[in-house]
Amino acid sequence: MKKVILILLFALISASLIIAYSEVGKDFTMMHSRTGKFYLENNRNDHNVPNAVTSIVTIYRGYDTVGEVTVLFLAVLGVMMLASSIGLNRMDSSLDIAGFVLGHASIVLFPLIALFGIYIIVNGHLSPGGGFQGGAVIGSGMLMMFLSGERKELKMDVTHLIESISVILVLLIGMLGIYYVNSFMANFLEMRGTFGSILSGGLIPVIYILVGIKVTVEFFHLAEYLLRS
Amino acid sequence: MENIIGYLVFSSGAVLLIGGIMIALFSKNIIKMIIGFTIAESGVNVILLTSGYIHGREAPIMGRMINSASYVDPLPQALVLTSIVIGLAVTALFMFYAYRFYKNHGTLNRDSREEAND
Repeated sequence: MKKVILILLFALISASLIIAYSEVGKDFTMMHSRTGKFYLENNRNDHNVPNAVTSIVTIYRGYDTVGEVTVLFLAVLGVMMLASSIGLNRMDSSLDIAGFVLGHASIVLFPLIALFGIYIIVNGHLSPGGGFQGGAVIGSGMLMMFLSGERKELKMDVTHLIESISVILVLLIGMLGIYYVNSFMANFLEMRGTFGSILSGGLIPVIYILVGIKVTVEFFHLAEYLLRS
Repeated sequence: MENIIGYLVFSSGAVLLIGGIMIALFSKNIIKMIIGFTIAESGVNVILLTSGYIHGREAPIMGRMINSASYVDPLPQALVLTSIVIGLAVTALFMFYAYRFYKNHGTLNRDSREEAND
């Protein structure tokens, strides 16, 4: 009985995908959606940044980004609660089995990885990249340091404080948008800068740097709690 | 047929979605279920991205050309960016549940749960 229901479910999904396939296939040669066209036409004049995806993520759909950051935080909160129910223990030296190559290469590689991540975060409004991607790069570098056993002990209170402050600043910027131009997460800073330089785009790099800090710390927390429980 | 890339990418996304759901439903091992969910999620992302694809246009990074007609739709790309981050967070939570399950029951087989509780 169970199998029959599952097979029917698969048939339903496959049929809907085939219908969607034929519908979307017609649209491959068509124009943008109206929303996407609006974003593309107004991006240069509104924010003076090249990367349209960044201005959508941070400003036009900043509300989505706040929700996304909240979901990420909730996942880390769930991991933390489960970890505390199991009980945290100190990181023992059992991870020293990493070996000579990983242990020594990670010391050389981690600064380069962190620098690359910072580059991605800071250039988020000029080239493909941004806070989430750069934060993921730096977080992966931190995971490599954990696995190599060469990690420094970071104070968890300080990292939690950094995370909270960055989120509060993002929300505060959103609220100031309501105060100045009557819309949440608006680009109310009038300094648009010269097109294509790092200091351009008003609030977009500020928001993305804050998001990058937050995502980096979230990754650090995930790895820390998973390894310590 | 000039849109062959779009059709190929869309159909591979559909295959990933259905295959991932099948793996997640039919496997007994929890780690394999998590892998199935991750594959299905990649399929959804590919399908979403394809919905904004327009043949012969560039990525929406507006360097030389100001004309909006020379770029693909940026909206699905922004949505997929959100989706990827959320998928990562959910996968981390899944992995932690699997770890806790293993610690409590000594196995990763989902069918042995009732026996271990008795």
